Amino acid sequence: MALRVFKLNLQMDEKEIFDRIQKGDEKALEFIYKKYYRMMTKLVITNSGTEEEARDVYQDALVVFWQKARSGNLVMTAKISTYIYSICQNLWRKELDRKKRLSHEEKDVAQTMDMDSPEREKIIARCLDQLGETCRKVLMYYYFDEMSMQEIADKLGFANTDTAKTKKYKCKQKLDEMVKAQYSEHDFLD
Amino acid sequence: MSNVELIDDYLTNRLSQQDRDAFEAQMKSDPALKGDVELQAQIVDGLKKARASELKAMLNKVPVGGTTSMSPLQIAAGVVGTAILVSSIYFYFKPDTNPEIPEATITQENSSKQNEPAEKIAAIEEEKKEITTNEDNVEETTSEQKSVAPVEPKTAAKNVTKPALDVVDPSVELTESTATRGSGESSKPVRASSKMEVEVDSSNKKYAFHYQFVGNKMILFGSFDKSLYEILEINGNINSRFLFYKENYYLLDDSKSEITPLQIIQDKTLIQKLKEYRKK
Repeated sequence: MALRVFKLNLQMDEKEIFDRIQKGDEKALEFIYKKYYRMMTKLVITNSGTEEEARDVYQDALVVFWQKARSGNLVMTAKISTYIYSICQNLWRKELDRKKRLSHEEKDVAQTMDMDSPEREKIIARCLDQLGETCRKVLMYYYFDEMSMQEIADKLGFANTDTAKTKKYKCKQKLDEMVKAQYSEHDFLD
Repeated sequence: MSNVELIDDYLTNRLSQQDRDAFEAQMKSDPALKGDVELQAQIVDGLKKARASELKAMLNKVPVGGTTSMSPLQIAAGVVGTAILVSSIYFYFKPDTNPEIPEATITQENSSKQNEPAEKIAAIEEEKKEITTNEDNVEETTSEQKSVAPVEPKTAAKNVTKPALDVVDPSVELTESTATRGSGESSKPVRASSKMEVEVDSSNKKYAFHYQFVGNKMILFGSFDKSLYEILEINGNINSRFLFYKENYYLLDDSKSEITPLQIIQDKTLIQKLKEYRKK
């Protein structure tokens, strides 16, 4: 018996997807990711990129798209795929440029860079890991997703915006203290 | 507004242009404030990076279908290639045996998979030539080449009309699926689009989780637009349709022309099967 499976993701038109992403619906982002995976990764693969690089670029592009959509400053005049495609193009072009520079100038570039900054980044990442799930989420939603206190309260199930506000304040204070303590240990504070 | 809040709003673009300008002017004249802003900028940057990698990790878990693996066409080409290679070795080591049976297999395989990329054929041909030169018994290999020869121009012609025989070309998938259906021997599920239309009616208060078939159209009653859903169609001896919604499967009986409540599927083996289909 020949079995044939038809699969359809229905009724998710462009506007609806975009509305959901604007509202911070991660499922809608996953939906887009799946939908355009081939199309976007092909762009990188056919331009001397590996599958892994293609996936990385595509994911980065979606993160950019997500943040832009969330910020409310993005007005979609073209199709979502066209927009994401252009982000992918830009990101991949930048990456190719970076590779070219690295092969030409070798280590000259690396030496002129601030050697402290990767260390600082590591410290902050470590502090974030120690911060606890809820605190991390509150802060990420506030600073990256630029959610309002109402949205944070809804998303994390807080009683009201005041709870969200207090949480955000306390969590940020805690993180600041942790980072400052680590920084002074490494003599990063002057 | 305290300094902490001001810095926060400044870094998250929550300040008006006027306040922003004022704050930047203040920063210029106050090195301590500037230092604070720099530290905060680093922390905010770290938070953003953490969130970005969290989102990427989330996307990494999304199954993207067979895109990373070989396409059916590549697999077919591989199978044919291996078959020819195996039989070539067979001829090489057993030059005295009757080659008729393996030869027949090769020709059949070749003619049924005409879409095979030209390079592959060329590579196989080269392989064969190599064997020919090493081969003492030339007769048999020449006869084998002859049997493949009529296929060759056809393949070349196909490639002229379709130069971009790409892995991601959807038309290739279509051709492949028709071929599989024609041969009637493969039970491999093939993805294609359905002609069924689906409409969602979320305004009906009486029917909160129901469905109805009207001709070739299906209407879903309930607040379906709040979450993603999928329709699975399995066309075999019996055509069946299933709804996948919020991690559950529901049977859609298209003989029901009246409004019917959606019944959750409990049968574990059926659920397992549907899960497999969804992953494809």
